[in-house]
Amino acid sequence: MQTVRPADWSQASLDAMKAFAAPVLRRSILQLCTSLAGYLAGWYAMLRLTEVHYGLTLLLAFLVAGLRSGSSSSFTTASTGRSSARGVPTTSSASSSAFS
Amino acid sequence: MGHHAHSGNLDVDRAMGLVPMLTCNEYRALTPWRRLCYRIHRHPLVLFGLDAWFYFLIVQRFPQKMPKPFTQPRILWTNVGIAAVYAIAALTVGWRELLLVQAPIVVISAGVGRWLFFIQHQFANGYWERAAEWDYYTGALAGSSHYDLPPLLHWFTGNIGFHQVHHLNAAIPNYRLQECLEKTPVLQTAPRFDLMSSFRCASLGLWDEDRHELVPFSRARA
Repeated sequence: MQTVRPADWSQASLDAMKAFAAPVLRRSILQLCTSLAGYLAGWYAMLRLTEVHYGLTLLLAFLVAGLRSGSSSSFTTASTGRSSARGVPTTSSASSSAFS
Repeated sequence: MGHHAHSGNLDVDRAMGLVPMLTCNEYRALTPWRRLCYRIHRHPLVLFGLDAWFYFLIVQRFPQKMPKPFTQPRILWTNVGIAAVYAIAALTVGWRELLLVQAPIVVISAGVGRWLFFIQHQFANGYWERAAEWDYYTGALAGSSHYDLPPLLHWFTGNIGFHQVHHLNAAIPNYRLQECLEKTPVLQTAPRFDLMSSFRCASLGLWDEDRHELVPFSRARA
């Protein structure tokens, strides 16, 4: 495996990345809506499946848990944008709340 | 707060990381009892099970290391919000049903979340250096993995598999990470894993400072 060492890293690459930091409102809203709607729909489906067989509820839990993990990532990288160019991270409250 | 700013720094980042990691020399210096504790902690059933649940359900709800004036009130209000949502859900569908549905979601998502944190920085040919030798850009690029998942799993995980991009500029929205990766060739040099190859990393438990690689426990005796 070849990795880039500091000497190979250029300021131009960092500057080029900044162009992608601009949020696109339509895509942000779409991301949040699909995650939330999918999660709520999955949750309701799990609830109804408890009346059929709990094993089916557990099976669907893998899918819904994935949406929960995804929404955590979405919140930390899509909706906050509180980071500096040096990549100081967002606070953990947004990410952790998705798991609680 | 400092994980991105110190990623791969053996003297700083490990204290902030979600996943405990010792070097071979540190492990050898432990008492047998402490070695056993560390090995139990690194066991996949504990790391991605018990410890993950404890971390996400308890530790992150009552963090002690966060700057209090800034973050503690926010976390408190987040906790109040979570409690309110659970209370409303319980009053709507019943406590038993809430538990039957929500518990497996929380258990699985905590394990998946811990796995993602793990594979993003702990892999065989990763980057961990002492503070004197450590470099921010190398830490972000060589110390963060490119988790090459199927498109559906990328969507489920909010594209966090493009972790090297996220580390170098955390302001990039998740839906633009792939685009940034494809248009910035230098980002494509980060260590890359697919789903199957990533599972091999689960058995690695110690950082070998001489060889600069994460190794299994059997190598600690060498």
